[in-house]
Amino acid sequence: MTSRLNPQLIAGLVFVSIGAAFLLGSLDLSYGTWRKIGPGAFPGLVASALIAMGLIVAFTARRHDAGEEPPSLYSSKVMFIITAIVVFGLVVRGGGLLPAVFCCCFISSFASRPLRPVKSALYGLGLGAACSLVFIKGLGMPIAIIGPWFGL
Amino acid sequence: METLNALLLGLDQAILPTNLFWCLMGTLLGTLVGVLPGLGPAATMAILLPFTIGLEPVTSLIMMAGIYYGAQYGGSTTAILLNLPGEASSVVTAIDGYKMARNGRAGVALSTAAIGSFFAGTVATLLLALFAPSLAEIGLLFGPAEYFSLMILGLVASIVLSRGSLPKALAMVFIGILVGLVGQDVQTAAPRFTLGFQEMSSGVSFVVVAMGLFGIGELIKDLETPESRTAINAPFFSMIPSREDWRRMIAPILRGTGVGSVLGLLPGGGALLAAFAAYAIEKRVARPPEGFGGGAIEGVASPESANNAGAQTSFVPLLTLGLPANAVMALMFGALIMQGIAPGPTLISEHPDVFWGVIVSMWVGNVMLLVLNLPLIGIWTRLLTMPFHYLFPAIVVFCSIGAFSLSNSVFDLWLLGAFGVAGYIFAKLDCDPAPLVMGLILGPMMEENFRRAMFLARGNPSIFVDRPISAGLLVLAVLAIAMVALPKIKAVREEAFQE
Repeated sequence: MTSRLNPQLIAGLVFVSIGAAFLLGSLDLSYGTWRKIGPGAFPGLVASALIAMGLIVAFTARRHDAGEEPPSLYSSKVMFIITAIVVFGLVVRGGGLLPAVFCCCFISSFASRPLRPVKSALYGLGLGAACSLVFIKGLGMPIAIIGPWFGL
Repeated sequence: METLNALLLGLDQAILPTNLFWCLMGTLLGTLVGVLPGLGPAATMAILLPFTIGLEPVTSLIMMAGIYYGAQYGGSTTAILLNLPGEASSVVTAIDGYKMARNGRAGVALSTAAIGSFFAGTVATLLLALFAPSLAEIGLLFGPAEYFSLMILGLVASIVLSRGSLPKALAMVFIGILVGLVGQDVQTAAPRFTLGFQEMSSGVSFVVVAMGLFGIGELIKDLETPESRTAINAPFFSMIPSREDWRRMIAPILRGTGVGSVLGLLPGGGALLAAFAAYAIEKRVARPPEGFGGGAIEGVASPESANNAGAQTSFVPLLTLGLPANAVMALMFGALIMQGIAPGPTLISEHPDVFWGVIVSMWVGNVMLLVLNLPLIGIWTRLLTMPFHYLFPAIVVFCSIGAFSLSNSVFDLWLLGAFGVAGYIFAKLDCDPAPLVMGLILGPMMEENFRRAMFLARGNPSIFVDRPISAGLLVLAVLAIAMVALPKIKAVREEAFQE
């Protein structure tokens, strides 16, 4: 079982599923005529080509790369980085830029070892202050430093 | 004479204090990312792109270009001193450059690289000034059919000349095209693949995709490889090459400049390919060949000249035909579009200040690098010891602020996160994201030109082969694919990238 799940095969399957999703999506759109090509035709064509490539990648995988270890796609580091970005997005409007940068910086620092929470927090505050200064005071970004959540 | 006048116009732009300042900023930032392994020029440009909207068009391009060739300089510095090529294009420099450093000739190796780069940069700038306007005139003859075929050739060439498996790279291009088509259809205004999100009707922002795939993707990859950087300060003896060194470096610099200038022009070419090819050629002509790999000055001079020449001439297809030759040029394309300038054959006549200003500023930037960088080498190497755990939260923060500031929309941050995950998965599956970005840029233009050509030909697809220029471009594209598919050439190509 594991011998068949190599990166090549996974990549091929990923390509096929992305292609299939776009092909399905293109069916809702008009394909038009040869002369007046509709909005669905070109994406449909490219999506079909993507499926074909995905099949080729998956098909050649079994011959060449059998026995290769499957890559471990799970990583806590990815989770921290992505969470940091999402939290930035959740905080920036209501909380303002300074808290958003602080949270983003603090959360993403969990992705590295060794972890020093106090240092990270201080670093986040410093970075937040610096960003507020540069982007809001300097470049005139239309966003509050400390947002409405804090009643200011 | 006309060229001279144009160059003077460019000089006027390039020496404006603001432009000089941002040129310096770009080259310094570029050198910095070149020195630090991990973040490439594409990632840096993607991260900084949103912040350049406020600048004048010519200024933002000057800065972006500075990042690109500054990174070449920085990459070769660490390649020579620490055997750590900060940039892919300085991988070959590390082979002989690091040996030279170990032999106590680090200073000479660094100045050879700087001299070669500077000479190549000067020649490439002149070539650009001489030939770009005539190429643009050819471009003016192109109709939709020719443009469609040109883009096919550009995409194919960029895949053929990249490393990795061909079907995978093609698949990545197709994904890029499809993502590029998301949003309202230009001709019928029908929303496509928006999944019902109002925010997606204007399309997926190019910057967000590039930032997610290159910036966040590379960052996560770097985090997984443990930090093991120790800056060894290679002993400096003399920076000044001896008479013997000069004699030995002249021919390789000339050859490297020639090879680099030509390869940079090709779609898909650029600094990386130029450096590899120049090293391979130098190895072949070297007498005796045994010196190679053991600290031969030729092995530094030639690839360093070539990568700088290639970096600069790769601007030609972008600025004259509107065809980005590689992922970095695709980002430059994005920067132009964001500034409201359509890259293409009319760029030179409609925005001569932008075109010539950027070209002359590249030369100015090379002078800056030559003057500033050699004395600053000590600082750059010390920066290498800066712990990554201070750098990367700042990068995440910059990406977030950048994505948000594009249109003050939180939705772009969700997209950034999604493409960050995608970039990570692609990296794990060994899929280079560069072809995807190429497809993203070229996809919508391809569709547009395809539909226009079909309309003009009254629905007859033979228009693409009936028109001679279009047919020629398509034949070239087919030849390029065939070449890679042939087993013998495939072996050579793999060998070339192995080195």
